[in-house]
Amino acid sequence: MIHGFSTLHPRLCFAYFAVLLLSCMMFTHPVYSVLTLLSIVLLNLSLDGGRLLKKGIKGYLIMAIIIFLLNPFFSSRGATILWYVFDRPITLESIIYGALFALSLLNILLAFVAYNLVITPEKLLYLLTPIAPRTAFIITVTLRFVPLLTRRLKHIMTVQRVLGYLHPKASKKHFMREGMETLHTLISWSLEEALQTASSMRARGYGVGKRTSAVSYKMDKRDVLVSWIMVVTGANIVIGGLFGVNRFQVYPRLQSLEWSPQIWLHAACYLVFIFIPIVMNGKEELLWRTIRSKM
Amino acid sequence: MAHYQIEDVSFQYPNCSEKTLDHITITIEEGEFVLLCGPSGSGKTTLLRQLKREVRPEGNRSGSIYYRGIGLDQLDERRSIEEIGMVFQDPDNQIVMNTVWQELTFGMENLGYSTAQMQRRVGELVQFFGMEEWLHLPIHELSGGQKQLVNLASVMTLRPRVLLLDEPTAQLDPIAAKEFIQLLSRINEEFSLTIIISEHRIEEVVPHATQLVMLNQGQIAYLGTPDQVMKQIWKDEDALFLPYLPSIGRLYLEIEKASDARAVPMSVKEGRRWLAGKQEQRQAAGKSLSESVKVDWEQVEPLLTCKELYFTYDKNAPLVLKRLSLSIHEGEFFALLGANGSGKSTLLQQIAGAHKPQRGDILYAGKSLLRKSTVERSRMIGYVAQNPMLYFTRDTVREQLMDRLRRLSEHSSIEKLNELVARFDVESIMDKHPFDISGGQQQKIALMLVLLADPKLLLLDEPTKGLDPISKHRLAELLEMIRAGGTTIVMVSHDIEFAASYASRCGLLFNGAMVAVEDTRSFLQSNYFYTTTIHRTVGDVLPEAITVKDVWEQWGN
Repeated sequence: MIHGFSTLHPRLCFAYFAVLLLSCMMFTHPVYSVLTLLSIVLLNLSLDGGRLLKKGIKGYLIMAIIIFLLNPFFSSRGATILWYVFDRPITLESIIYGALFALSLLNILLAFVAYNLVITPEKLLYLLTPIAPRTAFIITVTLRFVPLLTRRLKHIMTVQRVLGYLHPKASKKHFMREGMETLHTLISWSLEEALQTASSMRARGYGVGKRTSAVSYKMDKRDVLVSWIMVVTGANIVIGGLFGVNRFQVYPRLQSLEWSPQIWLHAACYLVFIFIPIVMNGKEELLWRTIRSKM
Repeated sequence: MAHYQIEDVSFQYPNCSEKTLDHITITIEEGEFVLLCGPSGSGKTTLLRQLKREVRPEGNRSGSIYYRGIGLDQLDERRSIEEIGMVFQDPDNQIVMNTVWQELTFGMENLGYSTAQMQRRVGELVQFFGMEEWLHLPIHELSGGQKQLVNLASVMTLRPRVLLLDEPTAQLDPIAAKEFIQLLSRINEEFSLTIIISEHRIEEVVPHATQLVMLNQGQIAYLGTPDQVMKQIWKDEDALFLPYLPSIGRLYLEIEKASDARAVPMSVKEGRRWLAGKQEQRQAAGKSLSESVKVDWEQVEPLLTCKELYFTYDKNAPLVLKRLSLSIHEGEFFALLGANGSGKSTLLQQIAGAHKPQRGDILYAGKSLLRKSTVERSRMIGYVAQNPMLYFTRDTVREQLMDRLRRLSEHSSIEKLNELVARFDVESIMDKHPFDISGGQQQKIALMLVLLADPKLLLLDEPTKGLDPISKHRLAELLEMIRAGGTTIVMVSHDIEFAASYASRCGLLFNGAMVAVEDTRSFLQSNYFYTTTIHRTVGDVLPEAITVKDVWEQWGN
C-alpha cells in the first residue's frame, strides 16, 4: 500500500472525489472523459495495484458496452443519418452520444472503486460525525452487530439442524415455519443480551453529555499545500463548467472540437486537479525505488 | 476512611416475594481484593450492581452504601462513572463499538474528553495490556479472552478507583481465565485499585484475595480472610460451601483437621512444601487404591466409530480435523479435552450431524451415519450445545417441552416427559419463561429437550461452563443417572477436575487428531500439564491419586 493520497486529510480526499464524480456526471467533452478514465485507472493501479479494479471490471465493461450498443437503436436524434435498420435511422450523433454516455458511466463506476479504497468506513464516520453524530454512532454500532447476529444465527441453525428440525428435504412451507422459529429465537435472545449492552453503555457514561471523537486528523503542511492547489484549480473547474466553457454538443449535429484560450485554461486546471493523487502516489513510488536502488 | 461501606443493605425485586439481599453489611478498605462467592441466585450480581449507581436494578432498597464516606446517591455523576468501573460476565454483550480502538475510547468519548487526552490514555494503556497487535481489528475477529481484556481496558481508560467484576471469567477457557485473573492482581498490586469480584472458579482467585465473602440466599454466610473462611467452613462441615474449597486446601483440611494455626496452602507450591514436612505420611503410601470394578473399555463393543475424518469449514481455511479416528464404547462417559480451537466442538457437531466431513466415515453400531437422514440421526444422538438459550423458542418451559414432544410424535410420550420432569426436579419452573430461570436450570431444560427423544448417545459441549460448584455436582449426579439408564455420554470440556472425578475415559485432541486416549486415571497420571492440581501436588508420593478422594483413601484413618 502506498501512503500518498490516502493519508491526506479525509476532507480533502472527500472533496477530491466529490469534484471528480460531479465532473464525470456533468462534463460530456470527449477529451475530458478520456482524461478522466486515464486518471482513474492510474489512481486505482497506484492504490492497490488494481486488485479491487480487477474484481469488478468485467461487469462494468459489459454494462458500458451494452449502453454503447443500445443507444443508437433507441434514439434516432441527430442530423447525420448513416444507415437504416428496420426502417429506423441510425445517426452518427446517437452513436457518439452512446459512446460518451457509456464512458462517463464507466468513469463513475471506476471512481467508486477508488473511493472505497481511499475513504475507509472509519474516515467516513469521521466526516459524518460533526454533521450527524447520532447517525454516525448508530452506523458504528450496526457494523458491530451485523457479524455478531450472523454468528448467533449460525449457532441457532446448527442446533435446529441437529434437533432434526431443519433438514434439506423439508417442504417450503415447513422450511418457512422453521425459519420463523429461528428468527424468533435470534430476536428474543439478542434482546435479552441487549439489556446487558445497555447496562454496559450506561456504566461508561453514555448519554451523560455531548460526545467527543477520539479520532482526529490535523491539517499538516502537505495538506495545506494540496488544499490550495485543489481550491484554485477546483474553482476554475466549477466556474468554467457553470459558464459552459467546455460544453460539447452532440445533438442535433455533432460539434467539432474547438480550442479557445478559455478551454485550454479550463482543461489544464482539470488535468492538474484529477492528477493530484497520481502525482502524490507516483512520487512516493519513485522515492521507494530510489531508496531500493541505493541499498 | 473505608472505600465502601455497605450498611445493612436489603433489596427486593418488584413482583418478587423474597428478598434478594438480606441485611448485608460489609466494609471494604482501599486496595482490597474482595472475592464474592455463592451458589447462583444467592445475590452476588445484585449486590455488585448495588455498588454502582448507573447499573442499579429497580426495586425496593433499604440500608445505605457509602463510597468514601459519601452516600452513593449523593455522589457526583461524573465521579461515579469514572471512579467505579464495572465488567460484566459475557464478553460479547458489553462491547458496543466495532473496533478495539473505538471500544477503548467509548467511555472517554461519552464524557467529552479531548482528543489529545484520549490518544494519550489509550497509548499508555495498550502497552500495559499488551494489545498493540490487535488494536485496530474489528471485535468479531477476537477470541473470548481478548474481548474480556478489551472490556477491562475500556473501563480502565477512565482511571477508576474501584473495579466491580461480575463473574468475568465464566465464559473463558482456563488459560484465558488465568491470564485475566493475573492481570487483575497486577492492577490491584500496582495501582492499589480496590477490586470486588464474584467468581465460581475460586481456585484461581483465592490466592490474591484479601477478603472472602460467601453469600447464601441473600445473606452473608461467611466473611473474613480466605484462610479464616475456609477453616470455618471446614469446622461447620457446611455441605453447601464445602465444594467451593480449592482442592489443595481441602486436602490439607482433610488431613490436618484445621487443627493448627498454619495457613491453608492454596497453590501447588505451598501444597508440596506442606507435604514435604509430613514424612510419616509417606510411610503409609504403600496402601494401594481399592480398585472399583475396572472396565476395559477397549473390549466393549464400540457404539460409535469415527474413521479418518477430515473437515474444514471453508475451501481456503486450514483443516480443523485431520485424519481423526476415535471409538466410543457403549455405556462409557468419555471426556474430550484439548485447547481452544483444537476442534473439539467441531468434532462433536460432526458426530451430531450439523456438518458433513469432507472425507472419512462415522459408524453408529456398525452402520454409516452419513447416509441416515438428520431426523433419524437426531433420535439416536442427542446434542446439547454450550449455550442453552439456543434451544428456546416458546414463552414458557412447559410449552417448550410440549412443542418438542409434538415434533417427536410417536417417538416419545407424555409419560416420558413426566418422568423427566420428576427426575430433573423442574416442576417449580415449568411455567416460567425460559430466559428467567438460572443458567443451571436452563441447561437442565436443554438437556431434557434432547433426552425426550431417548437418544442412545448424548453429546455435551462444555456442560460445566459458568456453573457454580454445587450445580456442577448436581449435573454430575444427573449425568450418572442418565448413564445408568443406558445412555453413552461424550463430553467436551476444559474442566479437568470435573473429568477427573466423573469421566470413565479421556482423550486429548490436538492438531485435528486424537493424540491420547486412555482411561481417566492413567490419562491424568501420565500427563504433566493436563492433569489435576492434586496430582501435581502429591504425584511423586502417590502416583495413582488424581482427586482428594483418592488421597484420602490411601492416607485416611
